[in-house]
Amino acid sequence: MSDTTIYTASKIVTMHSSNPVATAVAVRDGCILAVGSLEECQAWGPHVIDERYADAVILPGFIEAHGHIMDALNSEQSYVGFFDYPLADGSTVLGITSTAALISRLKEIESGLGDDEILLANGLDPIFFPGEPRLTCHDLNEVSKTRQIFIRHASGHLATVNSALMEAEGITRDSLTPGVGKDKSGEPNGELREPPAMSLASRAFREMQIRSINPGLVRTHGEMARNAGVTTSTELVGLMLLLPQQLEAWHEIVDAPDFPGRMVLYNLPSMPGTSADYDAMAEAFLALQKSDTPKMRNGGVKLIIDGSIQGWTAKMQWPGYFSGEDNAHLLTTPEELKATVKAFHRRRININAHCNGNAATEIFLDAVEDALIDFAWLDHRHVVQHSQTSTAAQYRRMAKLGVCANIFTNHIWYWGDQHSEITMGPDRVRGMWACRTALDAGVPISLHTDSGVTPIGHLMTMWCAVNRVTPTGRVLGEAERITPYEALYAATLGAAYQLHLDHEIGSIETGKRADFAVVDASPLDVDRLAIRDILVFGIVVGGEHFEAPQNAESGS
Amino acid sequence: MSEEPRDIGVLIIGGYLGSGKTTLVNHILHSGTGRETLVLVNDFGEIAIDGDLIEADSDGVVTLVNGCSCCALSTPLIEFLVSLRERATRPQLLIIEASGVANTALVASHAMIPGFRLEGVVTVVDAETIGERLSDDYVGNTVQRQIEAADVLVINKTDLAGAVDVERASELLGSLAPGALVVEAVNAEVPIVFLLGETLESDLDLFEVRNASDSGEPHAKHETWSWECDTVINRTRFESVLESLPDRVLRVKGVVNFDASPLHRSIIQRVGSRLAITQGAAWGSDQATSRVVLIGYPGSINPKVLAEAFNAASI
Ligand SMILES: [Zn+2]
Repeated sequence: MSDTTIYTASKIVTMHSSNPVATAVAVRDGCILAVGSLEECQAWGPHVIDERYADAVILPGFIEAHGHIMDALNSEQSYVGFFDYPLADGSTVLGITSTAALISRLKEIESGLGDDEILLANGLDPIFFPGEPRLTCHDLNEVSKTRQIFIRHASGHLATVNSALMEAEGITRDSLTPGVGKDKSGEPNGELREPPAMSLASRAFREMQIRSINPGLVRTHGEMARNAGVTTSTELVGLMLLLPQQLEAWHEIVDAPDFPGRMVLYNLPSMPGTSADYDAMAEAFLALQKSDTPKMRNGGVKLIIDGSIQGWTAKMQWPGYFSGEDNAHLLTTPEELKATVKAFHRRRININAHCNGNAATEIFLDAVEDALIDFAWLDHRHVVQHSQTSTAAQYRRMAKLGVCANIFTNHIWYWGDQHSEITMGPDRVRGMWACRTALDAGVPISLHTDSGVTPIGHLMTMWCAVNRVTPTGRVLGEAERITPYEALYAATLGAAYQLHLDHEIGSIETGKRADFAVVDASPLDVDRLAIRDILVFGIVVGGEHFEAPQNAESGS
Repeated sequence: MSEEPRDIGVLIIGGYLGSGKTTLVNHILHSGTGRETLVLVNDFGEIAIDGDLIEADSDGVVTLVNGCSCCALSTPLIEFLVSLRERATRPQLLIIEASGVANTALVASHAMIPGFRLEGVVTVVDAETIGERLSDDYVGNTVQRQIEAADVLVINKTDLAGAVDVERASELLGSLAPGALVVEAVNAEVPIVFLLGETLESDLDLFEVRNASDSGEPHAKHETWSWECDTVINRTRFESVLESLPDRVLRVKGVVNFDASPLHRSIIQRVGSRLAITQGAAWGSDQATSRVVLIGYPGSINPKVLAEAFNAASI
């Protein structure tokens, strides 16, 4: 007979409606045997009692249903974004809030590099340095006149480089490539806009490319997820259909006993903006799923329909953007999307569609409706990802069609002020990330961080959904607030539902996997504004314990 | 300098789904480009992460996928181009068939990295549906952007559309892309000289002759002018003449004997405002006659003024 371990806790919040709160959970073979009082758990037979979490609170492990392993780059190379970013080792790199701070951070990094290394940094967001002049090569020359420096901005569409790099790469006043920024006298100013210009920095560009598709990133991502109490994370730009040779490397890392979590991949069937033989891709996906393990699975496919709101590339219905340029474009056409959705839907393959603008949501819903008329797979749980501007009518449609929404609530804190002032307008911003509307309409929701875009961790997504407060103190749409319970549900069982894994994970319930987040307080008990300050001690995955490093020194 | 491999010419073919892009590519390959040509179908296939994915099949056609919007995935096309220019044997011409929703201007800027020379952006539109496409809520701006990015606009399938449709399409395109050359076609059959930037001397004849005819030809809405000169041309002055040409002069092609490089032909190619001067074959024992051909909208060409300007550039 297998061993049974009973864990006691000051409180166990189960998210299982029949049995919402407990103080003990019995685990056998990595699964949950019993949940209740210590006595109730003891009644299940021989056991040992483990009191390591006796003073802590146990929650179902958080589930990130829209993540990217790219966030590991922030741990592995220099992060210079505006907001503080927690790293894999438990430390936090402080945000860069001015050009002066950037220069001193870069000097610090530079002094630690070997002779041949180039300085690569990531995540700069000058939108948050209002009033400062644009960053140029002259600023970066202060850091080094000899070492190549390449700073990639948060948008991914722009880099700033120093003169040493331009000299080494032959970027001069005669460079004809569009996107090479030049000053009034015609000299290049260090700005390289869009990939063709960025690629002129050939060494830095190549190095960044190689790093960003390295499957080894998943290991670091797992550690970052662990620190945030996340037991199941996802890669929403899965490359297993396009780069199937990566599959083995992923399995090797994720299936290993020391990997702290589960991963679910949503794979691109074609590069965004291009087509493929989707029937063939659907068959390839079914074959791929045969390699799934309890720790690493291929959950479905990802379709990217439009761009981003802050980049003015998300496709909005009338009246479009509040101010600024409208660069919106669809990466597919309504006709093609219908054919694509059908190819996967009829084989019962789950579809996650990136829809930032409500026009993208609309054509995705049209396509799902069409597919459902042809093929009555009702439990598809296709997901509108991001769903930042989906309308009330669209949520009513989603409910009828069985479509879920994974809502990017972190935007409220990270870019909410910009959405109010620039992209959506002070009135319309109240209806963005419409969690209340979605739930009232009956749409299953989850929340996400798009890890790499914002730091992984559901305490923050919940905090945003519950409070809807921005850094300047604005409240964006009080009427769209949801309760802490609804937010915690979205971050656990709601996410599990979207992954088609709610029978296995997402709640602390007999028969499910023993996946827990161990924290110092229940988000249902603390002040609503304190939810994001809850401390994560670690996670349990299938009965294995993974501690989050505590009190590591903060800094760069 | 003379030992350096020549830049690879790049022709971008764009256009919405169903407009006839692939038909046009096939037509070009059939007609022959006179150069070793590689076709990149920017739509199907796998990510080209390393150079060995670019081995072409026997027809010289490779396929790869081009991301066009986000993060690290936006660069397979660059990866491909970089690996192509690093090859020992490289094609002389690369034709990129962009995807139906591609931002062709952005694709074109990929061809303006070192080692490549953009020869032109061709956008194919379907005569019958273009009006409808342009006013479509979802894809209208995509189609409009493809038209605005074009050096040459092919109004295709004129046989299937009514005369009114063709006329209306022509007006629409003229207003959206006033600097582009608009040609009408059936089955995307467009004279190659309109599409390719590379100019051979024999092409000049073809270019001129085809433009001289004024009925039944798809390009009768344009006029043409040519100039010949047996003395050496001052390059600086010649370039400033080109710069001063009216906007409605759409294309300039030529083979010129410059003072700065008297041993070789200099090949002139101007599409819109983009001027490329490249070194051609040595004159050897041939008579070093410079020859320039212009094509423009009716009224854009004033032979007397042009002759004076060009004559002033000769030494
Ligand atoms: Zn994402």
